[in-house]
Amino acid sequence: MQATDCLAGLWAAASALLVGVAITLLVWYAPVQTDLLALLPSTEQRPAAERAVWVMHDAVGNRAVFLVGHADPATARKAAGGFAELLRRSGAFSQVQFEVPTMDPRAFALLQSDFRFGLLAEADRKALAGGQFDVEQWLMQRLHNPLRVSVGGGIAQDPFGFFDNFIGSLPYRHVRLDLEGGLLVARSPENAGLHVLVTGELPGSAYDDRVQRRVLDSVKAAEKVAREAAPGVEVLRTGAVFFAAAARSSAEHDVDLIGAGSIAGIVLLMLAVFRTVRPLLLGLLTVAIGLSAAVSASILVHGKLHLLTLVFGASLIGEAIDYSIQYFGAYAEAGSQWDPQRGMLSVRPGLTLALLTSLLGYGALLFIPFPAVSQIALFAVSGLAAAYLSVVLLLPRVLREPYGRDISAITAPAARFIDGWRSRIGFGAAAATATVLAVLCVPGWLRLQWDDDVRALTSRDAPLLRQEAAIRAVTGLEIATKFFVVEGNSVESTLRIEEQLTDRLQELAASGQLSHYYAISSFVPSAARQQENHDLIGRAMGGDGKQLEHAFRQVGFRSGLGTELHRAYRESEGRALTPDTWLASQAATAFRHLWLGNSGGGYASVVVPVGASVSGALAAAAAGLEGVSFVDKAASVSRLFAQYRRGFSYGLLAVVLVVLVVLSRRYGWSGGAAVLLPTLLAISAALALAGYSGSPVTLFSVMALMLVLGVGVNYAIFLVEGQGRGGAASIAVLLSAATTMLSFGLLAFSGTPALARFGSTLLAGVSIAVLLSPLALSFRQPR
Amino acid sequence: MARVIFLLGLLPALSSANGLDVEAMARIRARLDAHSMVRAEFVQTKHMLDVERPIIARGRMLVAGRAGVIWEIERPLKTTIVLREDTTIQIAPDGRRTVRRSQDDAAAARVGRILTALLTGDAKALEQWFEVGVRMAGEERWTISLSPRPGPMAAFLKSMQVSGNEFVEAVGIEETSGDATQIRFHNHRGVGALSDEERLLLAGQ
Repeated sequence: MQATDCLAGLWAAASALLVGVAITLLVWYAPVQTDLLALLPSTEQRPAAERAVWVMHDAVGNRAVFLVGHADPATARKAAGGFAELLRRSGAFSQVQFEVPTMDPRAFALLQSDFRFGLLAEADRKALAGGQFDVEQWLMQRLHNPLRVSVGGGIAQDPFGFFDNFIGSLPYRHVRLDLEGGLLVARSPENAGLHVLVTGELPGSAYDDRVQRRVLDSVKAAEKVAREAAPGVEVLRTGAVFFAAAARSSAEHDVDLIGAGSIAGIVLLMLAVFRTVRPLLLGLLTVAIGLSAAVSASILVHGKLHLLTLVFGASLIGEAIDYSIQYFGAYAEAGSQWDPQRGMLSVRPGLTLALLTSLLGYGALLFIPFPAVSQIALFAVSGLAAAYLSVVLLLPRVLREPYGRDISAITAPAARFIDGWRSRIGFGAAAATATVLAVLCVPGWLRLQWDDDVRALTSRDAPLLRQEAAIRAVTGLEIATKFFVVEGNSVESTLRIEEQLTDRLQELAASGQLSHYYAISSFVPSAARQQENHDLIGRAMGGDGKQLEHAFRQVGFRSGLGTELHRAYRESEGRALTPDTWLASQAATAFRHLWLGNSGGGYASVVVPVGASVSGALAAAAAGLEGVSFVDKAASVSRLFAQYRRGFSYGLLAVVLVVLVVLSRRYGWSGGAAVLLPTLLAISAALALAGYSGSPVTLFSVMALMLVLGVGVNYAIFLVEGQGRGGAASIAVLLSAATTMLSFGLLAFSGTPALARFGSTLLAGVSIAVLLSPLALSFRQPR
Repeated sequence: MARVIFLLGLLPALSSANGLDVEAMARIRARLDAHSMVRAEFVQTKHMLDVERPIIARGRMLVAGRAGVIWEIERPLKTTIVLREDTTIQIAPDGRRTVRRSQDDAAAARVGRILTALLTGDAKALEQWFEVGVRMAGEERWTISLSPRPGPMAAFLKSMQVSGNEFVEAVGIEETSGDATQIRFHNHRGVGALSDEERLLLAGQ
């Protein structure tokens, strides 16, 4: 007695601390994580590839992109100016870019022009390497070409057009933005309307709650002003900050719905059954302690609480209250004979078993290297354990007064039902029912389909997706989700390996399987290739200046220009453009993320393919190239999901055996099997239902089945344990089943597909487990 | 860049300009609209600082309304350029073809868009790139001056002049480098039947 008192005191103090810590963490630390990538398991074996995933994630993450458009260009410019100014003044962004310094495009090319004798467009390189070069023909053609573009200065500087062609082949051409009057604009193909680009740099992470709120508020206000000033103004937006904020508000909506729904349900059900507020308040207290422990443990271990955990956590309310309900059942049953400690002794074995099976179900999820799942599991394990401890240790101290009301009007029918069941449904009838049910499941199983798409984890806001697609269509700017990572021992070897890759990508582009790609070696070829180009150009111009001068004179160039060009060529011998030089220039601004640089073990770069039409072609392009890996995070995670799903299916069988062993300690082997059987039937039936309804089985449905095992078996335990205690025990079983089903049922309405599927599988499985749990009574009867 | 494309587009489509001289523009537009399909021959003379003598090319042109433009230099080197909304095709003297599709190459698409604006007489779009001035000489002759607005184009192009009466007769281009091009058109006539080759080129093949 002394020892338990001491424990109870300790736990009461610990609970107060936990509640305080949880409230402090939630209010002051604002620990909600909205970045999905942080929750996904790492999929890449190579560290550089995994790092590239994050670099690319951040490259698009800390920027918000807007297009302000109107059918009348002048209105569009004016509206964009006002919009940008309001964003600037709001202070929500660290920088807002609207005006672009008007620059001479020749300055863009200037840097590369110093190295022009080592730079060739692919088509020219092929032509020169193939020996199809007649100096005079090329000169004449160049002189007469009406489409001549000269970024490289006068015609004598670039008489064959090599440099112009090189500049023309650079990836700038894919960007559909024009620099006009100091603004970056895009014309919509359908009408003469104009869109003006406005970008904002975030002052912090796109996943930071405060950053999101300030950005959303300022954008909303600026958009309103722009629309009011000129009707018809369109503001398109994209950026991780908007998606993350939308995901957050969707999750908050879910939490509100599930939390409020569960609590309202619990209040109504408990008041309806117990007719007094005392059990209700005490029950909610144990839930509050459980959730506080869950929040504290999750934040302390993971640093942040993810949205998915939060939504799932809200649905745990219905399960955490079950332990107290069992105790209140015994309380109501005892009436004036109530002794809090004896009451606890009568329910504790059942509660402990129920906790153990739930911990087994969730604990199985705790150790997989997938942050999303292990965080949810930790949340559940710590929450349920704390709720259990609160019921076992605290409730007997505070629930001393005997229960004063008569609830036999409710319990008597339940008692009659249980008695009736036990006398009528014997082993044979139960076995027959189980067999028929199992047989009915078979056709459903045969129709099962799988779906491992990672996108189920996100609730991507549809209007935002449309705006993103519109921005992509208007500007040609791409958001890279698939890319290659190229690794080499040195800068030069990295570029050389990249060139082997881009040679293959060019073949894909030529055959129409790829639109284009972005690679740093397009701007800065390897030193080896620059030397090769240099040699090709030298061969084309002839051994000494005399040949070139002669050809120049033939077509009419002023005397001396050929000699001069040849001298410039000779002087450039051995000079090569390096990534560092190029990256430091303004021309590289939009492409810096392509160079990952030195990462301890070596150098790495990123190549981004755009518009691949044949799936598998990209992965094939990387095959066999030492140092090249193709990264498709979504596909890798989906593959991993498939592995986990298969792994979990076997894991489920293993957990079944462990649960059976745990139950057999109390009920013996056949008794344990009897208690477990209704839940196994429920799992089979839930799977069959998925097959019949055509809804695919995902990793999350298998996880849910794991919990159906851990949670569903509780009701059979409670029922078997309550046998001697009459109707109140049965009512308590029904009540706790109802609260659990309510919470998980509400989870089925979550905006996140994965959680919704998780919730609906749990709902189906747990409901069937509850309905079938009386079978446990029949199986335990002697034949 | 691609200034000559602007110019080619202008030929059939000087149907547009700004509000400065609305009446004059309307008259020019009405005259050119009558000839949205036209064939003509041209002589192109380039004066370049680096080259001692003028570079002269001769050829013919076919403007087939919205279907596109075929610009064919016949002498001294046969070179063909086909401008369509969705593709630009260039055929070198040795038969080498360079095809730029708008969807893959935003620069080409941009040219196509400007060309479309020109072909459809979209004055608003034209004004995005140029300051437009109109001068009438008597009742029949007209001259339109286009000077690029501040922007990348202004780095290459100083000004353009287009003049004519019933048809476009001359185009002049002055570059910031000092190089200048004069194109004179003659022998304007109706398009008549398209040859198989022309049909294929305008179909983008």
